[in-house]
Amino acid sequence: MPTINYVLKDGTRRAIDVPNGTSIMLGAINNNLRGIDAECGGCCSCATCHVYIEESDMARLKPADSVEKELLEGVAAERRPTSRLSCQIDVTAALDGITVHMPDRQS
Amino acid sequence: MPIDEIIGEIVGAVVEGAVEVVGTGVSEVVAAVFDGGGGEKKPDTGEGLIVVGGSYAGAQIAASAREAGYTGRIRLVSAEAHTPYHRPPLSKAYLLGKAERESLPIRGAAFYDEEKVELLLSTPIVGADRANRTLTTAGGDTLKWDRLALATGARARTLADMPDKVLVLRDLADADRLRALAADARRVVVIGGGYIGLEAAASLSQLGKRVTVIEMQDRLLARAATPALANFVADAHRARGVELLFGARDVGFEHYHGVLSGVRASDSTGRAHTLPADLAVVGIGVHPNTELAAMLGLAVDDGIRVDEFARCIDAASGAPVPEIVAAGDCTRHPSRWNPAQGRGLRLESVQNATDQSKIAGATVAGAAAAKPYDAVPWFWSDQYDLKLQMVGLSGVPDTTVTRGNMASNRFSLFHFRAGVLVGVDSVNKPADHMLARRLLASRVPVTPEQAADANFDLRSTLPS
Repeated sequence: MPTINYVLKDGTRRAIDVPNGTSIMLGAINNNLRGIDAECGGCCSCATCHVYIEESDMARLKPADSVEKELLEGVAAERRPTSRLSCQIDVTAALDGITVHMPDRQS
Repeated sequence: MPIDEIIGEIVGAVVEGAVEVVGTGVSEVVAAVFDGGGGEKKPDTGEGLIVVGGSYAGAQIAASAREAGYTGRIRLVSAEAHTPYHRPPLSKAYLLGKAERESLPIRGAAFYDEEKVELLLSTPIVGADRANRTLTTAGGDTLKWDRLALATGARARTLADMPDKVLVLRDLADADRLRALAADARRVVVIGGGYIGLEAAASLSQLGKRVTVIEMQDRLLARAATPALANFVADAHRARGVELLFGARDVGFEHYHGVLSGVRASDSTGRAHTLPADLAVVGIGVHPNTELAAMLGLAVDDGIRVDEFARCIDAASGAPVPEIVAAGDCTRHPSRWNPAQGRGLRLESVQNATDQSKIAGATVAGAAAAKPYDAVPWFWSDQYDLKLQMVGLSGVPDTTVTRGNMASNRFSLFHFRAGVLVGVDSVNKPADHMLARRLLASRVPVTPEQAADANFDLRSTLPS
């Protein structure tokens, strides 16, 4: 099972084993990691599962599609080049060991 | 229909959630007092908070009470056998077989464990008493509470004499039945052209079923969307082979040994039709679950009345009741977003359940932490390849302009009343939707000319 490293708002790091085929968002929700709200449940409608990907890990992700890019324009926290919506990132073996950072707010 | 009813009855996408959360402050040795304004103060006996209702509102009240520092015992009581789960996918990805149960929970098991939220599932509440601060379960048990949160949601309206293979779509059990029946169905009639019915129609059509939607009004989404958006959605369904029948009267069912064989309806000219059907979905709105509130002596008006801090209202005195909050589909709340004001607003949406519950949870933890509820209402619906996102309560706008290109299925409708932007409907334009939420919340002036000009950067109107 791929390990995803989540960095919480207070700087705490949590290494979580997240099942293949789920998402970075579900990995956080299922482990009660605060900082991701995911109000719409992962259907790419609300932009409350915003995360920053560790810059050196960006190349390992498939790029965001047009809907995700548009929603990213509306995130509550600062939008950065590394901003992604975690519900749109499917967990695969290729992502083992990546690090994602929670933003300071989701709404 | 008067505008306040249209607005007041706005129905969002598939949103539900009513759960009671009751919790108690076991860990607090010193008795706390409820510090809500206006009501009587009662000591905390250690029974804590009980939340009644296990969907969005129930889960969020529990979470927000903890985040606001509530350390008492919290029990989340739900009639359903499942922990709170996402309902919007039930008419879409789940029905299409693209999402499974594992992806539905709103919070993982770790949440209930770490936040010390006790789950009492499969536990319908049938009685409630304010003087003794108790609830009675269907099994006859008595649960005591110091603080009570009503998140009892709403239930789907039904029609008389529904034979087998006619169902509503509100919860996971409904969705499982629909999924199983859809596998063998060929001709489906959807009764009701609201969001639930249309999402079900879109999904069933995509599964290869022949689908007819019958609607009592003369257009789709009569309670929940502007005519301009409704017309676009109607065209989208017709283009994909879904038949629409408007102005239907005297809807009834034909059956063979109790199993559905057809749906009867008269059209607007009075001519009777019988549509052969081996499956029917009824999506004709909901009733808010207000029975417990009435038993508790709380004010009820087609919804449990709450103030801007999500506190329930004493039916006799009209004063807020500090120890009982309510949130979500079951409530009617004061809202500046309702242009008719007056009776307050009842919303059925994930947004309302979530945002109102954040206030309710903070109120439970101590009123000083609570801000008045003032969030901009927003909704979404996914049908076919169309992502519909609505913000604000447009009611019946006097001016509507289009930004983008309707023919390309990527556009937004900006609605104005008396020159003021009151709502925006977006189709496959999530950036417009997210921006519109900020425009409405900040109440900056935007003109119809600016909104219609795709080269005008609407972000420039926002305060920096």
